[in-house]
Amino acid sequence: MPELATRTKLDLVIDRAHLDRFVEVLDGRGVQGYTVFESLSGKGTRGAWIPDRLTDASDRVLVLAVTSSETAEEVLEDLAALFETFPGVAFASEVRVLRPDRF
Amino acid sequence: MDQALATLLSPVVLFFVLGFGAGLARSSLAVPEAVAKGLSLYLMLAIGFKGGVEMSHAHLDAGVLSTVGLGLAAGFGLPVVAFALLRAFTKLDAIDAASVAAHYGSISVVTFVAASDYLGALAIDYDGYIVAVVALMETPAIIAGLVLAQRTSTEPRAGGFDKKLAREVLLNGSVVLLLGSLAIGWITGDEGKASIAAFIESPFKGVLCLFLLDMGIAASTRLRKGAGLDLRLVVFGLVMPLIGAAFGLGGSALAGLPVGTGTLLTVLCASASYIAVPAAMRIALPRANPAYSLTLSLGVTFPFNLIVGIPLYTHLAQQLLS
Repeated sequence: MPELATRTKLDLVIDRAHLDRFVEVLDGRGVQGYTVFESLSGKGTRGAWIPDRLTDASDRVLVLAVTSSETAEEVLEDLAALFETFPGVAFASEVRVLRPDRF
Repeated sequence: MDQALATLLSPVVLFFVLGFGAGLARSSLAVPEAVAKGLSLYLMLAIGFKGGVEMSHAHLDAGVLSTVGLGLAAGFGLPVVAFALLRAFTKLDAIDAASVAAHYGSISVVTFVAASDYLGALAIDYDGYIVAVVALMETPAIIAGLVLAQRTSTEPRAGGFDKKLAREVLLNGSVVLLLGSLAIGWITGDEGKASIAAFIESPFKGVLCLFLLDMGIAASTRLRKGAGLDLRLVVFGLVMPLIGAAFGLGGSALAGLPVGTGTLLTVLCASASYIAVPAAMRIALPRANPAYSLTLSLGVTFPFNLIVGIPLYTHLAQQLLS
């Protein structure tokens, strides 16, 4: 069993149109890496949504980032402020990672 | 009457109906997203280029200036009317109402293309400069919607105008392609048109059919999932185009525009955006729910204009304008 270290995983589900603003927070707080995923459809507090094929206006994306618990807390504070303007949700969970120097 | 029947039985409308029906019946029929976006680029390139070539024949006169003036007045004014109606008769809050109002002040390029195709079938001419008015009418409504939200919403962070929004509004892909093609058509004129006619003329109607098939699928899918639409909103989606059309027709009559150009201006005033404005509104008013505006403009107003509106406005323009 290789050695694993504990880190914090952040999952954000946000509008594609606002991705830049959220990525700015991750970059600004020094998160070393993240991945953005497309989504197909879903349901939230405003009911079900489908991606709009003519515009990208209702598309959502999932942003996955893993970082230290200190950085994650700073990011979450910034996210709380962003969510006052932009819709979306964020989850934080503890994960064990290989090669901890990467996070 | 024959004229109206002819529209209903044109391939363009029938392909829309086919897509709409297939979407309602949950058929697996689908136009791949990249293809649909490609078709929309083709339509804008062709309509812009042809408009530019027409413009190279024309001179700047009072008709041009009054059409541009009417287009801008509609772009800024119609959202105010739409906003007042939505706040008075529907449950939408100030931000959602402002977002929907912006969609109704802006225009639908595809409705415009279908209308110009309809006029072509009736051998009614129109001035090429109207294509420039299409591009000009895309954006004023976005600013009007934003101002309405800021003035009326109690939320402190209703939205704002910043660099990102300015870029989205001014350099929106469809506006850039439309104005760019218009300029290229204007510069190269008839010679340029002759050299690419095989690409932009013959396939145009077929491409329009395929695009409308996709629009039909998209419209019925939106309606079927109809997030939050109630009867009052649907009524708004049917009445607002008539108000826009009344403004367009009245203005065209006062300005003394010819039938073809007046009809197209009327169609522009009656149509609602579902391409340029939704993207801008996500940035300008992030709190607004895009489901309302998209379902209304794409699911209610677009089919109404395509099937009932275009023949109706053309008929009225033939009576009122000369």
